[in-house]
Amino acid sequence: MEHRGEHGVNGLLLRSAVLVPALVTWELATRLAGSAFFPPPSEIAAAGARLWFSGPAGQGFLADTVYEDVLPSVVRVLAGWLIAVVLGVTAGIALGRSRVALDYVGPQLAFARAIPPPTLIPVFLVLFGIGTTMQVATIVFGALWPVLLNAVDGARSLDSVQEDTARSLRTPLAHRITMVVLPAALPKIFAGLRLSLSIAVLLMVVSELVGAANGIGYELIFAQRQFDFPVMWAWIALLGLLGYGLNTLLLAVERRVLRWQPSRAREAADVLA
Amino acid sequence: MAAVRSLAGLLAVLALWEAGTRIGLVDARFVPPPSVVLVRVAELLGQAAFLRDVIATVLAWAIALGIAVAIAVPAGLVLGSVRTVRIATRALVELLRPIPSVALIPLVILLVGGGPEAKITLAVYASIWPILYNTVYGLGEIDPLLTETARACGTPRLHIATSVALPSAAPFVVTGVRLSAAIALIVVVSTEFLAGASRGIGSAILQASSGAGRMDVVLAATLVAGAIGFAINEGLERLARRAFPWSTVASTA
Amino acid sequence: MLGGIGGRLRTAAVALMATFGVIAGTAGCGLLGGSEPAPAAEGAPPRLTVSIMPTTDLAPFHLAAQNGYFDAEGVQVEAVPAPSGQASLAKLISGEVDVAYSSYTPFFVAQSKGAADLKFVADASSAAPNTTMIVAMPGSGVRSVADLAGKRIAVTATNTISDTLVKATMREAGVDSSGVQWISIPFPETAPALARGDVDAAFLTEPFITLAARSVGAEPIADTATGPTKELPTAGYAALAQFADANRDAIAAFQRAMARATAEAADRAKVEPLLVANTGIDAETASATALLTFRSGLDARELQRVPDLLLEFGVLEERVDASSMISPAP
Repeated sequence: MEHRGEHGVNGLLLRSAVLVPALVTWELATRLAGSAFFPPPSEIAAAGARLWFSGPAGQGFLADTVYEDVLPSVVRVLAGWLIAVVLGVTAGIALGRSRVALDYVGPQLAFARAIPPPTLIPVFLVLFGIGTTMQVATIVFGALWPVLLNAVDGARSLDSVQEDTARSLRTPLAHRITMVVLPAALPKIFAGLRLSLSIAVLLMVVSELVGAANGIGYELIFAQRQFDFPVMWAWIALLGLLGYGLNTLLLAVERRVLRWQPSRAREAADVLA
Repeated sequence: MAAVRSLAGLLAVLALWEAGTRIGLVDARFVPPPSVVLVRVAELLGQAAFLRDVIATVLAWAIALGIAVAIAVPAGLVLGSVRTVRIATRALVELLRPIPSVALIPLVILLVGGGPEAKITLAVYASIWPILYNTVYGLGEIDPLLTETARACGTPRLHIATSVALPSAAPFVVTGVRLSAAIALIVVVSTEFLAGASRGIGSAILQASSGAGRMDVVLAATLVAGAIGFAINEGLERLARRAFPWSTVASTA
Repeated sequence: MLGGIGGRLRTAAVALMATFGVIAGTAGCGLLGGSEPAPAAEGAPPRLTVSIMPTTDLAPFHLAAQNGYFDAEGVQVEAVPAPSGQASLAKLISGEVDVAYSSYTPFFVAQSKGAADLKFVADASSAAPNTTMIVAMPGSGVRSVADLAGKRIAVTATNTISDTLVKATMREAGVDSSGVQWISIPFPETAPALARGDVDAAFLTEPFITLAARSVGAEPIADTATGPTKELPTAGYAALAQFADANRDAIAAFQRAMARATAEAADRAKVEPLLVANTGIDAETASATALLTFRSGLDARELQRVPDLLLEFGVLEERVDASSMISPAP
């Protein structure tokens, strides 16, 4: 995976070689099929422009819905994800360092993470009432596991040389955690972060299906109920772009943080999940 | 010893839950205590209708996973081996992957109806990515010495792929399959729950939660779904560890 | 070494393929739970799949099925459960079912947006007194329609008959509904939301009104089916126009059976056991709940009230002619 080739002009040409024909095929195919369920991308783009960019100049040409729906949703995703990250990394590293603790809770973690989050929404509704708390809680619950489990794994997979060195040098615990364990676990943690982010976006949509009054998921379902297909597709496209954008940001952060790691570990973080 | 500790941990969680409902921290009408829910689980497992639901869910899961593997492994092999194709399709893949399957449920239902096709389609869509990514990564991890040696011995290209590349990349592929297995099950149950698509554990949960809202049945069925996912994950993990004992990749998220 | 791995992989691969072969085979046996249309034998009665919901106004349908009225009229009817009117309509559009039961709003929205060409085959119910109410908790400060201004009201979803009826009721009372926060909550989760104070009031239909009164003590404060919305048609059965035209006999048989069952469903004693069996409520609630008026014959003028109301409150953007959507009665 040589990054330089990817990001140069050749890379751009190569990617357009696939993206552009894909777009054109999509446009042609939908126009030919003429199905109401699959509007052509040009119509979707037009619907999107009307939805999001039809606002007054004072608001930066952004329509109300951007402030009332997109922004709250993005805030919820980021809030839920960040909480999940903090909880997951701290708990994960703690558990990873303690074999005993992991024995106690390991199976239940694996179990909890296999529970389909949408089925727990009735429970969350009861526990947190309706509103942002419940939505963020749903996101946290689902997004926690990849981070947690990867952090556990990362903390456990410490090079024995590093471990012994740190211990023989009598490094204090705090330093050992932050300077030895954490950096070594980072590649695996970042892989978990990326999976966690896509789960967070998914759960944001799910949590807005019930008890919401605004949000991307809310608008998506509303458009679908109104059989307004161009608008529905526009929101789906927005979700894809949102996920793509957040993922790219995370990748950029990851590359900077992991820059000093041996290239193998870096690529592991790059591709896994 | 580890097993005893696990059991102790499990009992502790159940005790906390039970206590929580007893002291009124949570309304027992809406989150029944484990003493009720676990009984309900035993009841459900004895009902033919629920067992049919379980089979329907697991079958749909298996088919979806099979299709995902059949698509993603060859695709991963191609993308992992041919650099230009990988770079060219990277942007497309990165744009398609983040679209949450949940967002596509209404559309898929309108197209293929609410039968098993809908949940299988969505589960396949969601499960392709981990296998794809891990296959590509696994191919990148192959010791070039192995492939060079094979080529120097005059091994035809396809043969190199199947008997050198694939076995070396296998642990990574299996990890990808394990991740996808978990995702596929969650998507199948979620689709059943969110759209009432055909029979399955998710639609059993849906039926229990609509009407008069039997939360104990809802929680019981949810626990069953979680248990199945847990069993699948553990099973695959053990399989991977036995098939590839040298590998450290087997146990990731 | 590599050969050993290859050998094990090969065995694993073969085992895997065999397993999937078995799975694929059993899938064909319908274990997947999909609705597999069995090929009708020659001379066998036509089959209709109908998507239904666990609501009270399906009682005549269940009565007809239970007493064999469908078979007597010469049609085999198979019921497919759907979680909501929207899902029911989706099943109809995708071809999974032949006839769908739903509240009228999704039908009219789909028709006006051109998502489907629908024909109503039978009416199901209209709003009897005390069946479509606005409820609130005693201590919530909402005592009458006038108190609803600017509050948080729970409805199943916006741009449905739920919020439309509330808006209509508020307008009748001269109360401004533009400041209301509409929170979308499905009926089963509304009572806890009221109890928690997440919403100030809620629109509910039976049996949820009775259930909410029993479980959290919610009290009705207004009946939305009064004045201009009195006895408003609430739900019905529809089929795709193409299907209705091509299968007149089967549809006619369905209509006759439903008419017969609906007349019989006037006897409440026959209805209550069906409610217990199909809507998941207990016998006590079944006897206490108010029932929608069961209907079967479609009246174009009555039906037109629905799209007109929806147009008035912006749910529809253009007028829909209900009479053109009615499949002729037998």
